[in-house]
Amino acid sequence: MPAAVEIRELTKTLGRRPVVDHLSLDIQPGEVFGLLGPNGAGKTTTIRMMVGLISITHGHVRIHGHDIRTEFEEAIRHVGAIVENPEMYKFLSGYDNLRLYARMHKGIGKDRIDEMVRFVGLESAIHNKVKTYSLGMRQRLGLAQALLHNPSVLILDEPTNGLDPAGIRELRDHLRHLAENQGVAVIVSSHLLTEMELMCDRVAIIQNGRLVQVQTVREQAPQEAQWVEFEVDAADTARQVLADAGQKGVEVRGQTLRLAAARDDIPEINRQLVEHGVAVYAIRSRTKSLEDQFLEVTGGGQHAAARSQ
Amino acid sequence: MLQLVHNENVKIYRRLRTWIFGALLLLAVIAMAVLTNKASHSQATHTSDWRQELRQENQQLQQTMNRSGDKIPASAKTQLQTQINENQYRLDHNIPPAENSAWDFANNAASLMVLVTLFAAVVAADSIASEFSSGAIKLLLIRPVRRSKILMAKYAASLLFALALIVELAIAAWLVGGIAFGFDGFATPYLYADTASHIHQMPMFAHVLATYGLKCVNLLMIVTISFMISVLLRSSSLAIAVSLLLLFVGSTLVRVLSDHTWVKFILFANTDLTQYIEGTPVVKGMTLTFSIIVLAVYFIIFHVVSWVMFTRRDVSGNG
Repeated sequence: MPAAVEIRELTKTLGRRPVVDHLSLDIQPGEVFGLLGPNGAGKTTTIRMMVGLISITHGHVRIHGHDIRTEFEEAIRHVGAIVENPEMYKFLSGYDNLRLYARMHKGIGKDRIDEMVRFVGLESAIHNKVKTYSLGMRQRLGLAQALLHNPSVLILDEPTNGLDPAGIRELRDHLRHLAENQGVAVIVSSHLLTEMELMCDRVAIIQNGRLVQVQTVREQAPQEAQWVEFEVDAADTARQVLADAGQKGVEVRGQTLRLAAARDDIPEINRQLVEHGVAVYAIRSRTKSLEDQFLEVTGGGQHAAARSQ
Repeated sequence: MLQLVHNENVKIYRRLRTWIFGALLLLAVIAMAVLTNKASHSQATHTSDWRQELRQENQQLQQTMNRSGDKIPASAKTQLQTQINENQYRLDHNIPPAENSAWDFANNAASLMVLVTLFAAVVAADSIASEFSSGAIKLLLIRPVRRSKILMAKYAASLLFALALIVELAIAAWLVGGIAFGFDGFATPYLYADTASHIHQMPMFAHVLATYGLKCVNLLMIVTISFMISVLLRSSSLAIAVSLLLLFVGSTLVRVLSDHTWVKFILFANTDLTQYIEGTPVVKGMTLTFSIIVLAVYFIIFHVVSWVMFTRRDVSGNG
């Protein structure tokens, strides 16, 4: 499959200093690709060159085969982006801002705008002026703006800036959805390793404008502790069974039990439940991350769960 | 392209500032009518015997001229002579002195074009600089539209705003003038003197049109230079400040330096084309053709600079 974005020998010098130095990358459709590096490594400069905001000193960027310099309109048509903070017209409502952008593309009607407003969950505030928005709301509006014209390449520069953990998780779900279900090539930049690990399929590490390496984010190791959820018919009985078996820290939410367990322990727990006459409808396991622990403490987890439903 | 201009219009007319400008212009017209009304009441109104008055006035003026001899400067003498000639012309052609009317008032209200120019300059200077200072430029320039088109749309929207203000001024002046002083006076011709103090007449509406038209040239140049400044500076408040500074200091500076001949190549020596209809040019030897050529050259330079800077510029850093 041809790359959605092809970056070759991309270089930007300011004065004599190379800010981006012979950078070459291929980003495929359907993957979430991360640009990781400390502040000042050249991530934003790279992104600005990719969307034609600044000139390219040397090398090229092609989007679906179209050179961003020589075929700007044809190339940028496929791109949705937020560069740094999503700054829009504060004296207009969120909706009017989206209408402005819609007019600059062909064939975006009211339906599409409404669809995007729903997608980012801004229905209740979309007719308020942008100056009343929180940074999180602006990020949502920025995402709506970037997705308005159904781009096949989505470029987000430091998208988690100003988002709370719940917002970050939601954004991650959105990006996953776009990459997996719609084949969008998603490019995000960040200086936070943990964030990139959670969000991306592949990560390019950049330092001093140079590519250090491209790393495929590893699969979850089987022995590590993770969250396991058991959906059962009688939660109280089940909890008693697990308590008798020595399991600690079992949470009950409705008909679901949640506990920390290693992957290898799951069949044993299930066997005990079934032996004691508890009907198990579903078993789900989820990675337990640092972020999860943070969310537990702050109570943001329920918030995120409620919003993503 | 129409969509782009529409977008720029949205950005102009959805701002409270724009409507404050419109309201201020209307207030200025009304205030001017009130002041004119007061002034004409305090003066003795022209009696039916205006011929007698003019003859008396001419006698007095002639006496002043004779008595003062060489003591008064030549320009003042010319002025006196022009007044005498005008009065005589009225007597000869049976044209009573102009009463206040909607037309006369609209003509005087042309001086409020200064306000129009001021407001239009602010909007033009803000047009691009505000996109940079707010950061919105980054989301504007990543659309499948060439930068030159966006520049054109913004310039067009700035001019449309200026045009809207002119139309507002003209209609408001005519209506307010008409309500205050009556709508007649259309037939009264407008008298003016050429450089040799000979008196000529032209239809009133033609003179009103000419006055507004010539002031529009000034307006066009100011909007264009403000627009260029807007491209050059990233801070909208700085762009507005520089534009207004040029607007106010420019013509004064030209007048102060008018002894030097090179001054005639300065933009602001040429923007006021009404100098060729009434009065004398700022610098001796300037002609209408000369001014038009100078203005055209400046106009092209401003546009080329704006275009080159806007299409080539790196949109980076903080703004």
